[in-house]
Amino acid sequence: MMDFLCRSGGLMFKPGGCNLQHATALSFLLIVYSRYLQVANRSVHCGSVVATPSRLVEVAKTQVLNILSSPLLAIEKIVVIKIKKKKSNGALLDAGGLHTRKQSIRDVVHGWIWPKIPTENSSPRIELAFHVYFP
Amino acid sequence: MSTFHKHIGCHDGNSYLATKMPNRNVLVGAIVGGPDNNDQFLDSRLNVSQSEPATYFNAPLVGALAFFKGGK
Repeated sequence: MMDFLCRSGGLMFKPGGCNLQHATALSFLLIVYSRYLQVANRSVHCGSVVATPSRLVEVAKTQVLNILSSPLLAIEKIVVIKIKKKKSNGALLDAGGLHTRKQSIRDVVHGWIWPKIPTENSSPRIELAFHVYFP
Repeated sequence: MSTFHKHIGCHDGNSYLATKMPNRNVLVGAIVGGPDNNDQFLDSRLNVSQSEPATYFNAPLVGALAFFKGGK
């Protein structure tokens, strides 16, 4: 585990391959192992550190949330797209809600982000940026 | 299939890789390889490890999402 780092944004980084393979696969495995430990009524002991099953789920949650919603970069790109649309067709678009509304897995999964993802008229850069950070 | 139904050769897809146009088939809901060790993301199809949406990290993310969606 010594070659794991945590970036300033909170996403773990491990050398080799696609980075999100580590964040996603380890999140999944942590959840599975947490449930096993819970049934067995055990914890992980590593030196002076004790990781309970709930702590393992917490770690997985930080990674999943990070992948889904936390980077401000993606939010900024939503605003950029809205501004571009306003300039091109003159329509008045709401650009304020995304700044203020709290994001959570539930918000993302239940669709307040999804309808805002443009797919037809956006540039490759914007599309890819969304795919990095949003489901 | 209705818009492109011809035979396509082994290297005929290269033009789609090199094009500056947006991706033709957007996988809404997929994540790509993601940022590097400096939190940087090179937005290029040629940078496969960062920009490809692959099954081996989308699958475990779906598993983790299912767990949290289940509320346990």
